[in-house]
Amino acid sequence: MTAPSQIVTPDTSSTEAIYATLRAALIAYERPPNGTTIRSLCGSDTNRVHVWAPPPSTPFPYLCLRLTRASGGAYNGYRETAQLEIQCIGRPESQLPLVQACMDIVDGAFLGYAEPGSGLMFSRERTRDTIPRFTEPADANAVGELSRFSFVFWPRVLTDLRPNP
Amino acid sequence: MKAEWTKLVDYKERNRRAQENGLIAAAQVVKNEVKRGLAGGYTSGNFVKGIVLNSVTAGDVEETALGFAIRIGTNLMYALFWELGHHNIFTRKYERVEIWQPAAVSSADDASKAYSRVFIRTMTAA
Repeated sequence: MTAPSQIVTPDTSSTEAIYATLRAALIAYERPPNGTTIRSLCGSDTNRVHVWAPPPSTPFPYLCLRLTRASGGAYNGYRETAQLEIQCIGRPESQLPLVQACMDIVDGAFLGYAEPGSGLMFSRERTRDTIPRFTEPADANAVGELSRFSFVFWPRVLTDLRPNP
Repeated sequence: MKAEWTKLVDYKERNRRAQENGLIAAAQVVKNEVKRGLAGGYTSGNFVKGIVLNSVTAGDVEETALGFAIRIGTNLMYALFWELGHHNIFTRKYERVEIWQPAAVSSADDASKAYSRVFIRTMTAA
């Protein structure tokens, strides 16, 4: 098993590597015209982009990537469709403009995203919504936005499974 | 000429009805999958009363800019907390149990087949 920090991206040879590739693409994206990045908005001192769920006591705002993968019967199962969900959560409510600015960067990073460097993955349509205000027992001071991108993967992890001739 | 127009109008109407029926059938497949996921409740399963399960509904078929669509959802706000995740002020933890989205993804193929089956049946009905 490769430590996440040792994964050289782009890489689609495992689910972990796919996450690392997408995360790296988001962190590296510079939004024109000023080259705004997630780090420049949220501060480069701590990690603000998490996979699956935020760790305990994480500072706000943070972003969270979550993939739902599904293989259909077509293409012998080698082609996968996936939903990439990205949430940006801020607290308190005054962080909403910052949350929206972060999600603008997410849009720039993944709209029309295509990565042919390892296997192939590309994004298709996306939706973006503001998460409604929650009530107890959820923290009502948290604000958030959510984007869902449809992705198509031809990951190396699947094509490498072919039996040797 | 009049007969041809009548045929065209009939085809358009039947096509619209076939799409609506197809979407209703596809939504039923997704609804069943969501209900299966909700059967055990959101956490330990010790206090399941079936309130969310019984609230799963499909809306009417709508015409959108991309074509016809149907929505599946609930009017219970706390189902949204669990689905999207929330910082729970009582447990002081981040909590999330996704059921709807995985159910929609995993049943997409079956829903698509149900749509095709009902669409063809409506279009070819005598």
